[in-house]
Amino acid sequence: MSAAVAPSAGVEEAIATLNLALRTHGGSVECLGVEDGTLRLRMTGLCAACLFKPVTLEATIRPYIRERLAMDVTIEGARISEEAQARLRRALQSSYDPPVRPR
Amino acid sequence: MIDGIPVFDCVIHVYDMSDASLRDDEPTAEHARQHLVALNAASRMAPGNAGYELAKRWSPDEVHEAVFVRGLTDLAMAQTVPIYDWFTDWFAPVQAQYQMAQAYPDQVLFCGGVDPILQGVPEAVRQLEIQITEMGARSIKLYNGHIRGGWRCDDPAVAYPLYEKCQELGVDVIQFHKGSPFGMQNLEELSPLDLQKAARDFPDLNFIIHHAAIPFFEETVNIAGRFPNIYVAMSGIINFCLVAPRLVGEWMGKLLQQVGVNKILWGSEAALQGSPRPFLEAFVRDFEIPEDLRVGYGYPQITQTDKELILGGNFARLMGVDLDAAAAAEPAAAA
Repeated sequence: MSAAVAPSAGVEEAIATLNLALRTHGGSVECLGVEDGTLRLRMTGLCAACLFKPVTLEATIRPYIRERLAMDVTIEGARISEEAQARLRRALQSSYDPPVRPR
Repeated sequence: MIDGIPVFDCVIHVYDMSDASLRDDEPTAEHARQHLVALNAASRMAPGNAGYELAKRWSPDEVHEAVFVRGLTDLAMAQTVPIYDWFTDWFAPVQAQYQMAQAYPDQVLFCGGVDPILQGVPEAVRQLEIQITEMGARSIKLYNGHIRGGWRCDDPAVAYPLYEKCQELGVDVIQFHKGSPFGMQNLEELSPLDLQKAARDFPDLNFIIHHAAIPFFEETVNIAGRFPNIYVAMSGIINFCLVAPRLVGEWMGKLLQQVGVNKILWGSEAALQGSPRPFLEAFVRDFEIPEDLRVGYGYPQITQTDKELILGGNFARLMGVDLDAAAAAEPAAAA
């Protein structure tokens, strides 16, 4: 594992934009650095001890950081098993499907 | 070192549970000593850890033999424990830890300790200064849950002068025994809840909660998950890998998930539970997060990198130590 490096201006800009969305949760993220090409973040405010941190990571933070910065991201204290990640991805994918209307 | 992983044990003790140190003015003293000695029961199943006597004053050489010669350990911190309730010279005396660090300076870091009620705040601060500036203490261990004379970690009049002195002298790691009550003492002062305000008021200090404060484990996870300067030492409880690996899997899984691997520390509590070797072997070679906990709770699988951080990388970072260099300088452990 290599040492974390300071974030670039692009990373800081992306985090600032991300935090506009996370304010709706009553929290935000702060940057711990970039390590081995992975952005390391810590959640603050109401997000800090929230059990739904992994959901916010999978649903909002990871897709956004991948799209905006083309890098992976980890959140300190929001690490879940591969099984749980797969379950979340399945659930989140179906959440974007059009609603099924009763006939 | 075990299987290429350097080991930095955050807590060993040169204990004094001898008859000579047992207080004869405290009716619960012998009961507490028996409780402490019984903690070794879990390790007696491990070959090499059976049958040794604990109710005595250990020597630095005996602890060194258990931890370094037999114990696969590269570096360790010998910690004072200011438990005076049952022992006149304290459970793990200042001088005994200092002597061990002096005897093995390339392997042992000295951790001091004071008590602001027993000694009074001015004297405790004075002792701190001596331990840090003259004896080379790299950290300080505190114990606030006494049967008489307990105090709060967030008391500005009692606790904060100690933190301020540490900060002034460049010691930024403050360690508390939490949970794990002995004998017939009250449990509530061993809750980690009073570390929240302290951690908030001293953001440049790092606080370590030992024993994951069990039975206050849930509180510990919540606090360490929210405060960037609070760490969790699994002191003496990873050792349960031999007895109840599933229990350790539940603890470790939740810590990995909700606190983060960078804040989990290995501590053997040797010599109380014997040589750390069987526990290290069980943790490194056999321990994993069971499938049903991964599926049902979403706990992540533990990786080799996690084990490297837990066994030494994290504490080395906290103490500013080059663990790889220290491990490379040490002779190979006995077979």
